[in-house]
Amino acid sequence: MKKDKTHTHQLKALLKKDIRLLFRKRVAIFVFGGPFIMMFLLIGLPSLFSSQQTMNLLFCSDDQDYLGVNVGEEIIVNITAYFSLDSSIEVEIVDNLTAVKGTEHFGVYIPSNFSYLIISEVAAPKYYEVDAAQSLFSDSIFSSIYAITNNVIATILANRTLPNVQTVIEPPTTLTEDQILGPKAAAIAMPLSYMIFLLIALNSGSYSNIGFAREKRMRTMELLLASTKKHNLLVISKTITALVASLGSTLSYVLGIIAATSLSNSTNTEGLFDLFGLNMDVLNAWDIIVIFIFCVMALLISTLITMAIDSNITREASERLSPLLSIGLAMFFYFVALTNPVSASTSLVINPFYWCYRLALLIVAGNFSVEIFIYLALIIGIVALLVFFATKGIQKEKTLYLE
Amino acid sequence: MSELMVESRQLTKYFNSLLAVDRIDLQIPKGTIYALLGPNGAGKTTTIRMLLGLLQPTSGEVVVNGVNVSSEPKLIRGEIGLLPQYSAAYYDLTPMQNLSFILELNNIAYEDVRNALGEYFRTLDISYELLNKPFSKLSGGEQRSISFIMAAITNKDFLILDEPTSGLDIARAKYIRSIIKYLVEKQGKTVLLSSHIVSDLEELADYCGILKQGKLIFQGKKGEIIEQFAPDTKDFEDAIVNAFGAKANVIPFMGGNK
Repeated sequence: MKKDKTHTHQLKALLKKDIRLLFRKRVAIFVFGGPFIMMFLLIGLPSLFSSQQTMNLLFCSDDQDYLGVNVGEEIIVNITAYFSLDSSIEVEIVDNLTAVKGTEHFGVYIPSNFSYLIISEVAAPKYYEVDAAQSLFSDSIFSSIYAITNNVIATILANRTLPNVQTVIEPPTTLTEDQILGPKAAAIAMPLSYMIFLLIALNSGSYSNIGFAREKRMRTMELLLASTKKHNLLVISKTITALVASLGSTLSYVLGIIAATSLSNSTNTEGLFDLFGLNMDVLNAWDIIVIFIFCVMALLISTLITMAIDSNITREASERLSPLLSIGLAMFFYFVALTNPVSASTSLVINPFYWCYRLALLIVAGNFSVEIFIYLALIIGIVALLVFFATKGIQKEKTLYLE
Repeated sequence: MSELMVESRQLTKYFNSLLAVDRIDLQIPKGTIYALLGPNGAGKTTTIRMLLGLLQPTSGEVVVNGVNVSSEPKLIRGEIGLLPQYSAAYYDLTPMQNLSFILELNNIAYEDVRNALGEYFRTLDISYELLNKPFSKLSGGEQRSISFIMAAITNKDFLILDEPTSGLDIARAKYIRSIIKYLVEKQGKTVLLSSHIVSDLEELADYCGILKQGKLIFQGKKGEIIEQFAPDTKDFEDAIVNAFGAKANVIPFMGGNK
């Protein structure tokens, strides 16, 4: 029996038309040029958000006075002085390892043989990092600590070979095993939440150029509805077009960052990843692909939310109001995620952007538990539901035209 | 009456408490031009949307070309050539892009209709330059002509043409009428025509249906409407005006006379 390809033909025709409309001069400038310009203005936003958090850095040294030089003490003095200028970090000195391991943020423990190993050079000295926060801030703070440690050692051991200090990352004891998704998830948590929020906010404005409101204004809805066998093809075509627009905007966004960082003489790719807060020492290409896929997934859901609301509200203002819910959800997700990036959040359990985010963390962490299937089912379910509502919306008599 | 393209039975549509279409029994024979007439707000657009499967009737049913649209609206979609009241085309695309969109949507290869398109362009005086301008840059008449071609080129058995000559100059309106007649007489198509232009109706309509306040107050051959509503003047326009309930023979403005 010959397969009916009507739906495929119709989807291709609708898609071609929608993409053509997207690449009109005026729309293309707005959708693809706007983000590039915006990046010059928003380039400092990630650091703005991150610097507003105050976190405790617990420090404990069991280092003994070895040959009159207490390296651990010297390191603590220098680190305290270094972070005294940073209002987002409060250094707290504690006298036991249990307190460090019980921190809700991050801590450093210097063991008793630290000075001995440095002076004697029998083995590489080690100190321990406890990373409860698991965020991009941890990376930068621990990098600073490592640099200060090496500087202190270099000063003490002037004119001698510097020992290679090794850091050991230990999970905090206050979090359960389920809550700790590992360093990879920690490395993508903050950048991913930030990217999801920013991409949704950035792309919401472009919807009015490609959504159904435009069809209503052009009075083409009646023709489309009368000519298309399955009305959800109209929704699917618009959604794919919106994703193309979003990805184009995102490319423009990245190019804007590259251009902006070029001006500040940091043109390499590492600089770009640093700007997103992606620690490429921990992450690999697959992790970046996962981040990309779930950003696209979040954009897809955002587009469908906007479309479902827009098509179900008849008023002309709907095309401007409908992105607000999507942005609101994304904003709520982002600010809750900021406070506790890798732990499962009950307050976000009904937020579809959180599902994408959480699923990405679980996949990157290699935690292939039943949780993955739950979030996957939720995402598929919400996409199907939103397509259904958007289709019902465009079939409404009152939404045929903008009267 | 020969085989029917459209047959409705007690077709009714309420919008909340507003009765838009009231138990109409429409019968449009195949291979004819049926003019659906009525004053503004009579229910013409609602009726057309129910035929297209875009609106679900509150009660009653409608069968179009053997398809029960009331129960299976999906089956009729894409089976009717539609010229909406307003020029339904993408203003940022060129006429050629609009036409190719309609062809692709109906899975029609350009090669299969190349000659027919050429005929339409020649008859309606559409130049090659015009085809590659944005639709928004075309005059109202040119836009209407392109919209008409978009409806006709899909080669559907049933065409719904809402005000096909609205905004056209005399020559183009005449050409459109001749094309409609050709499509019906030579190709056996059925046309549902909604128009307020008397010359269109007089020249084209085989059958008329008159809607008033949602009711089908008349349905029959063109000659019958004159017999029923203007037996004295034998004038088609008077018959329509009388059917609408207005005064046909008194034009009081500035004391003028007919």
